[in-house]
Amino acid sequence: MYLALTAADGEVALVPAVCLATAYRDLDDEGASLLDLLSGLENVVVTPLERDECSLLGGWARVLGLGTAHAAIEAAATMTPLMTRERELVAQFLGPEWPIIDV
Amino acid sequence: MTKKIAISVPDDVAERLEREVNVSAFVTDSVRSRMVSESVRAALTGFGFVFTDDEMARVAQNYAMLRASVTPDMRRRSAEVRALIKRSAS
Repeated sequence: MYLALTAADGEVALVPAVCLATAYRDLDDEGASLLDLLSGLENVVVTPLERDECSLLGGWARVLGLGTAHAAIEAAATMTPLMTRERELVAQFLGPEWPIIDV
Repeated sequence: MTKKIAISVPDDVAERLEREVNVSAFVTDSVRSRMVSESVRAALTGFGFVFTDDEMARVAQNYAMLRASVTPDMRRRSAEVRALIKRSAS
């Protein structure tokens, strides 16, 4: 629903590549079809993992796991709300006031 | 390829468009944005997602609150993370 909303507002939704990859890892074929759809939407941008981010990602991933860590770093760098199921863990890195959309 | 069309708009819309240097570009961007929105909604609906007006309104309200909740702490944290990334590059 948030994807539809951001599209209606003329905005894009960022999906960090590592986050997407871990989702594919964890889902079955039906889930993979959904990921194919979501990641291919016109208002979705799959953001790459850059070399410069790897050190930070590795550190944060010890607590958050790779996917959530990449998402948290992307949210922090772009100062955008983050959609996650790991609110309390993410708060350790982004602070308790960071806007979170609970999955 | 472009096509020239003539449209009628209400006075307040006409006044708004008069402020644009390039009305064609402005209208094109606005319509394209609408087209993306329609395409996304159609894709999600085609997969089986159902959107009700009430739910969309609730989500929109929640999202607007989140977007408006930028605090000095957030700005500071964002700057810190960008600095950490930049430091990794050097």
